[in-house]
Amino acid sequence: MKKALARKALDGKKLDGRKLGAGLAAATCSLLGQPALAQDAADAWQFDSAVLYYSEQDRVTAVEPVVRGKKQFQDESELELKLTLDTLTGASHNGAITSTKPQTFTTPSGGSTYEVTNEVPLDEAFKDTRVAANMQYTRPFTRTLRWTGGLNFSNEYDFTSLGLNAGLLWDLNNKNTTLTFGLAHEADTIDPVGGSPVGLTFQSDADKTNGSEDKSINDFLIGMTQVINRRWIMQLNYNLSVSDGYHTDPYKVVTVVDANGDPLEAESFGGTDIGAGDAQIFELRPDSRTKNALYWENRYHFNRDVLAVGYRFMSDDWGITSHTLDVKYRFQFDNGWYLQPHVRWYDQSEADFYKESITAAELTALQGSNAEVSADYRLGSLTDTTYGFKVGKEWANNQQLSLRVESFTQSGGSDASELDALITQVGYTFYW
Amino acid sequence: MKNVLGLVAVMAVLGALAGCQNLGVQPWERDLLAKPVMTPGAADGLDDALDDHIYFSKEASSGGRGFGGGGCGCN
Repeated sequence: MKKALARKALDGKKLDGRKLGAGLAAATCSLLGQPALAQDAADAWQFDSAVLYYSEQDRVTAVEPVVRGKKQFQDESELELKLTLDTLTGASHNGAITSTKPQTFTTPSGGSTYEVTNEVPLDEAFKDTRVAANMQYTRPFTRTLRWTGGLNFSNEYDFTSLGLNAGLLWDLNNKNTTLTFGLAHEADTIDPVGGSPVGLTFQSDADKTNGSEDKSINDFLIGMTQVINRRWIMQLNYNLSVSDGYHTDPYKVVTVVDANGDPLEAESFGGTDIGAGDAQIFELRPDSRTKNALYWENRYHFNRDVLAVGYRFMSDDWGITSHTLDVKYRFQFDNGWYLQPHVRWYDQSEADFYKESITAAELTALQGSNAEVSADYRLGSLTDTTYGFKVGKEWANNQQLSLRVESFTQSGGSDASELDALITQVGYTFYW
Repeated sequence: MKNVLGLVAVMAVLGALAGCQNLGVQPWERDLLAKPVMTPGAADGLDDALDDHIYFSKEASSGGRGFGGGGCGCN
């Protein structure tokens, strides 16, 4: 729903005629080429529902049901409510290297240890349920200006997030141009299982502090949606995001290795001995991050089919630069059926402080300057591809049923970055 | 760096805006544009939000299409 701002840049256009009386509105809409059905649905709530099943090979499985209700009122204002449930089970990479030598780790709670050899070290105790609720309200206050405001709440076992946003939508050039200005603030509270680890200390020492950590994020968005011609519409957004506070992943470690790349022992540094290859230090990330993103979307309507091409450029002050290309082509058939192949390509460079592992000398240097380090493969160089399709059927009463099946593959500089996942989603839209 | 990028973005938007006065359609030419599939951000229903959530938790990028991901302890 945070994307609602950008999306709303256009929503208002669909129902231009509704300012007038009901009868006149219907006439106006048909004049605008608006399908009559949209009028029938105008007084009802539109419900979009979906269940996402996301499954990684040997790692995380997520089941995520979502329901969103949307209602447009007589005064042209619009209310949107969304509820998301997200259940996660499985295992997640703990940051350590993959080694032929045994490595010993402690579970996040500190209650037990586990040993891994010849495999990507995974923390098996990965289980969480997330509940998220969003509300967005948009209302016109002149013929060409609308304001929008929203609230977001999300809660999981070790994380709570509260957010609000406000924005302005400005129609220009006979509504062929819409400018969007948006601001958002988010306050996160992180309460890691077993406490917040002290960065750069050995996991075996379990040096942790009690109490929660905080992070706040401020977002600014400026966007323009432009009708090029009868078949082509374009959107260009710039998004600045500044976050301050705790960015470290409390469950990730970095392996300290010898000259051969084999894991060292914590006890040789004066740390607690919990088993073989236990020289694993807690990672440490910067306490702020500034991200800049440019997004460009194009939609082109052929006689029946629609091509959508999106591109995003992102760069941040952690040294990460990324490119995302997203292409969808919708084959529209006579009887309401459609088939939509989808290809997504993503490429990122690594963060300045990313290291797959560190040497004893590097550890000493890091500890001396309290510098940041992380072996989280998501901060390393990555190339991802997603391809798949969506098939759907739309009925005359605007009900819609769809199925999406996609294959997601990650690949990067480390063994941990090699990941295959299946994305399956069933969607159902109805009016009530 | 960020100030430069911001300035470039603003200039690009303003420049494009000036040029956009000659673009666009008349109200009676909106038959195709009025379809939900031609609405950026809304064309694919809940897919975009679900995708943003997946990729936010698996990659180091977020934002652009709307406000940057978040509301999730997954990254």
